[in-house]
Amino acid sequence: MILSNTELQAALDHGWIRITPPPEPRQPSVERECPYQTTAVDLRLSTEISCPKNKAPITVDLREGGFKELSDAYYQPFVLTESQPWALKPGTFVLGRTLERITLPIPTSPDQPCYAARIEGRSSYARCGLTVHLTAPTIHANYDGVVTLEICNFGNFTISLFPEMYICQMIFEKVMGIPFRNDSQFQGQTSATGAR
Amino acid sequence: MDRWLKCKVLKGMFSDERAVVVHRRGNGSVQFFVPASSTRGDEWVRVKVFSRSDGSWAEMPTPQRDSVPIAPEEIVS
Repeated sequence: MILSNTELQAALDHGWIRITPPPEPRQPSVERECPYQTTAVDLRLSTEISCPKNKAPITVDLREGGFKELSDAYYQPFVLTESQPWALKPGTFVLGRTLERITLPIPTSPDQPCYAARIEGRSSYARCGLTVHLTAPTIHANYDGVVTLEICNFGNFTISLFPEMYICQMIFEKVMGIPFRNDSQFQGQTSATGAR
Repeated sequence: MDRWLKCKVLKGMFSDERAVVVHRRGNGSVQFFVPASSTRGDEWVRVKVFSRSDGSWAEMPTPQRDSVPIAPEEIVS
């Protein structure tokens, strides 16, 4: 069941969902754009993106962490500023992150709700060919961190990426039942010994 | 309880991120992207360790809280 903006704000007030910094304003105003849609909240692009370097293509074996080779040799961070945005040319791809950190705690008692979320692009940007995720849009319960975005320009125009621009939307859904997690999976057992 | 797990630490795709490669017991290796603040040097990543009668697991400092089976001797305080 998808949360309405009022239910989302109630969940934020209870701490069942945490978004840091909290999206503001909560209500539309003439002075500021309200990030809350009827059943989603808009999130912003963080200041740092990660861009593929212009190098000869390689073949990556993904079966055993083959993409670790990509990090240092083939990607470089770039800090976005208002005066120096990133020009995302047609057919190119960068990694971005949300400015906001999302926390979806698993409740400790059955009378508390549990939530998951989905990241989606913005339809107005999609008309220009901009996507923000290629796969796996689900943010699972127990998630705690910023969301990495796979930003790709499938359009015919160069799109400028600015820091703190609204880049995506997040939709929250109620989870049926309380999922087990690592520590409760091993609840009641002792922590590991074996320190050197 | 936090512990340190032996691994290989590489640069991540963002300046505050590292890629860690963890050897999985009897089954190759896995890679995770973790905050740079959760690594120490180029060989250690901070983890939470859980045990039960049939083995021990390390929970990585990833947003998804990924876990990997480990041998107790791979962990230091």
